[in-house]
Amino acid sequence: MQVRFSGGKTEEVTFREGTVEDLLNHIGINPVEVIVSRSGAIIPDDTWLYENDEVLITRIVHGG
Amino acid sequence: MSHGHSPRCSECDTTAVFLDREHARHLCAAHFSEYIEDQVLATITEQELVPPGSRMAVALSGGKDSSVLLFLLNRLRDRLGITDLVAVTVDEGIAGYRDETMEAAGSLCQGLRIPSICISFNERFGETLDQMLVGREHRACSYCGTFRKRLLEEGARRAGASLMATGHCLDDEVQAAAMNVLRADIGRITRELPDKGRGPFIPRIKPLSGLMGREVALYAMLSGLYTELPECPYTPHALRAEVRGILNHLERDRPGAMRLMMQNYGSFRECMRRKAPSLPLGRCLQCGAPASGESCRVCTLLREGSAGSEVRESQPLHR
Repeated sequence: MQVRFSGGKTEEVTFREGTVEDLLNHIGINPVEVIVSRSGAIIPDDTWLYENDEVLITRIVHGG
Repeated sequence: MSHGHSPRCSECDTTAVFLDREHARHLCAAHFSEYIEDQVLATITEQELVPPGSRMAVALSGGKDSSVLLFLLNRLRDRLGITDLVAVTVDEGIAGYRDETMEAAGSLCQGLRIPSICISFNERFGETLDQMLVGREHRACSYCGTFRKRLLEEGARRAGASLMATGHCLDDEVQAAAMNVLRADIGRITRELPDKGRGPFIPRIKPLSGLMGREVALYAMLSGLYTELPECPYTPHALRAEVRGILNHLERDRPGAMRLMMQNYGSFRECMRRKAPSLPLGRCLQCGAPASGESCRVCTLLREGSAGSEVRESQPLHR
């Protein structure tokens, strides 16, 4: 699966299918700290994803 | 591209954008935005935070939280009886970070036609935050927080405000509470809440304090207020960053944990207050600002910063 991150980085992640939360746990990201979109649409954490989906993970940046 | 299981809004059965883990429900963009606005209105009305006829200063950094705050207060101003809104922005002087957020703050004020006041560390203290912190980067948050709070107060006074709103969300509040406990900072724990008009300060309110940071971020995105901004370069030095990570893990594993912690902290605080009442505020001998000792925090830090050179004093705030 192709995963884009806010800030411009793109990574190819081995993930066949599962929920957004499964994907985030798989790549070591806490769902509380990000918002995920698929094809430009924001999606909830229990949305089912497939291998050929393109997702964008936006990290919610905080100050100090 | 597949679009298999797409959760539906629990209210209207359209495509959902948000899973509310605490209440086990989904919300679409419209119902999510309605929920956020209702929550903010409820926080303000239940706690009677905004007396009708208020001239309100809004602390605007240009980040998502303060942008959402200004946007929502502007939207709710008639219902709340707010007569005037003025944005107050402080330019701390952080290279590679602050310029972009300042620009975002300016654009938002322009778009909403809200007047703004901007004060910089450099014009007020003669140095940018970057210059103050050379060799003491690990104390960035102490310096930044202390001086920024002073300038926000000054900005609000300049605006003639009767009230000042800040964009602290639930995450910020829980992080601050956890740090107070970790440091056993009894003074901060027992301090009177600023929304009750603590001493000579302009009362400060936190209308977003019932919302998770993630909810504020999502509202910002759905309202076109979210801009990709850089992270503060001093974040890696901050204890808060570590505390935030721990609390976020707790929230992931136990949805609602932060809200519960904040409720419990309120009870703890009341109990501590009875055992160790906060000291009455006096005046700083150097600048006349409210202080619990002989010197206010701003003058103490300015003296520290100029150790070995001529001691500077902050300009008088209260006469």
